Amino acid sequence: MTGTATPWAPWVMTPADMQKAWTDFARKWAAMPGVIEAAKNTRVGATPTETAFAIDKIRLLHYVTDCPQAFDTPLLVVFALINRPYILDLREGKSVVRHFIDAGFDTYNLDWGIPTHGDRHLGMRDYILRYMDGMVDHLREKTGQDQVNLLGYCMGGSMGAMYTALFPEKIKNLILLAAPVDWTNRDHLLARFTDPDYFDVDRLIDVHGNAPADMLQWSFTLLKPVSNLVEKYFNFYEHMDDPKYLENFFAMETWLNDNIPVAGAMFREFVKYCMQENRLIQGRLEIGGRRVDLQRIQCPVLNLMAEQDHLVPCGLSAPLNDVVSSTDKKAVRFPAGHIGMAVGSKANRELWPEAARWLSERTDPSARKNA
Amino acid sequence: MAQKMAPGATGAAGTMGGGAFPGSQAAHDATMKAMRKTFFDAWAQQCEEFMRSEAFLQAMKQSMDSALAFREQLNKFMGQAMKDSPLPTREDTDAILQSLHAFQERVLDRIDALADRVSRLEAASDANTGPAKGKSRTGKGGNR
Repeated sequence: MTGTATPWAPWVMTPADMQKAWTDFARKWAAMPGVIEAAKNTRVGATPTETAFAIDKIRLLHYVTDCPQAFDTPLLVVFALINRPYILDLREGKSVVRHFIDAGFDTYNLDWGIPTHGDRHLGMRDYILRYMDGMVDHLREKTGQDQVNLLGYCMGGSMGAMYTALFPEKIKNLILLAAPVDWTNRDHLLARFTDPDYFDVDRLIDVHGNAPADMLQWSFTLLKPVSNLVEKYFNFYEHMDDPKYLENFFAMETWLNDNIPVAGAMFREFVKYCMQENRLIQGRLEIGGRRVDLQRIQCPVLNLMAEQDHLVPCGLSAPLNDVVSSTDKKAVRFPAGHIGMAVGSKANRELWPEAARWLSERTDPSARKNA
Repeated sequence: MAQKMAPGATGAAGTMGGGAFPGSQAAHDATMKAMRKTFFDAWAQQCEEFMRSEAFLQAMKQSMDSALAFREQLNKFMGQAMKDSPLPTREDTDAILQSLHAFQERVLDRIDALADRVSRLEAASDANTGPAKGKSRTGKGGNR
């Protein structure tokens, strides 16, 4: 008995394998107090923020740092209405906003708040024409700049594109991250789930008021059931004695399970008009009586897409570059998943420094710095 | 699916046989991991195919319809109970909120119209007396 597996059947456990498995198990079991401690001490949000402005429940968060400001034009980050926006600043070393802060941008994040039943009537008109525009106007007033830079992630990217089309004069540069704009291709799983033949969004909102957080969570989990419900926990077991892994794991789990409902009218309009009827790319979407024409976007556009995105496949984002009038536009397909684009090590190492450089090259240096 | 499984399976088999398997514990673990990955990939593929099937989508629709029907009944029952005991129902609060929302919209529209008017008056005044020192950046007028 050499204690090694037999070459012809590696799945047959030798006594040595069994001993190793038990030793591993004992080591994992011994790591349990550390796991509990890591879960209790989970911290999310790497950079301190302060509320710069608020309209109703919507807050404009300002990242407070000691980094010298190299540009007067601020950067406004807009996240989706689903889940919370701190994913873009999850932890040290896994922070999208940190790259822009380090590059010298005065950075803000739009926190949409948590809608309650009373917010069920809030629709696109409220979110884009009232809240988003109010925040942008406040930023312009506060910084004394005519324009702001906008970075939109996922649904926040779609909303950012809509906003830029409605108010092109207020946006200096537009960065979109995994932002769906064209739902022509109905082949991906989320499109099947939201197909009008199988999903009656009107009835859902009529009955529930808002789109329930639990339902959204389960819908996203079901898109990758094996990965989300099985494989993840195998990986967790294998790494549960690694403190660094635990910190990242619990930070991600905190965000993944921090689900919030989506205001009923907004969810209804987005699913029906955008996902089911595909009005946005066709120029048929109207918000508050104003037509959203993506051709009106003239500012520089950086369209970042995730090659392995199961929520927003590249085909949903790429057509934006074909319809905008911008002469300075760039599309990047990065080998990552939907969330990996924001928190992945490779994205933080390669993609975001490049994106920050792209924005720096298109933003005038601070007058105060030059003075 | 067989095609999707093929690379992982052949990879695992290649590690197992052909003299490539060195007999070390690390190689054994790598083989087991490769087999596990192949199994999970195949399972994930199977799940995706199932969830794309008409049967699954119909089942999902039916279960959602049932859940919504149950919730509707619950809402009706709770609403009736509230009405019977003189308490405000969800419809009552909804009506108030809708009324407030409409009121807010009207006020904001009016403020925007007034801001637009002030901007135009300022522009006309500037044209007569020269450029103003400050420049409004709110751009609120007529934007809503």
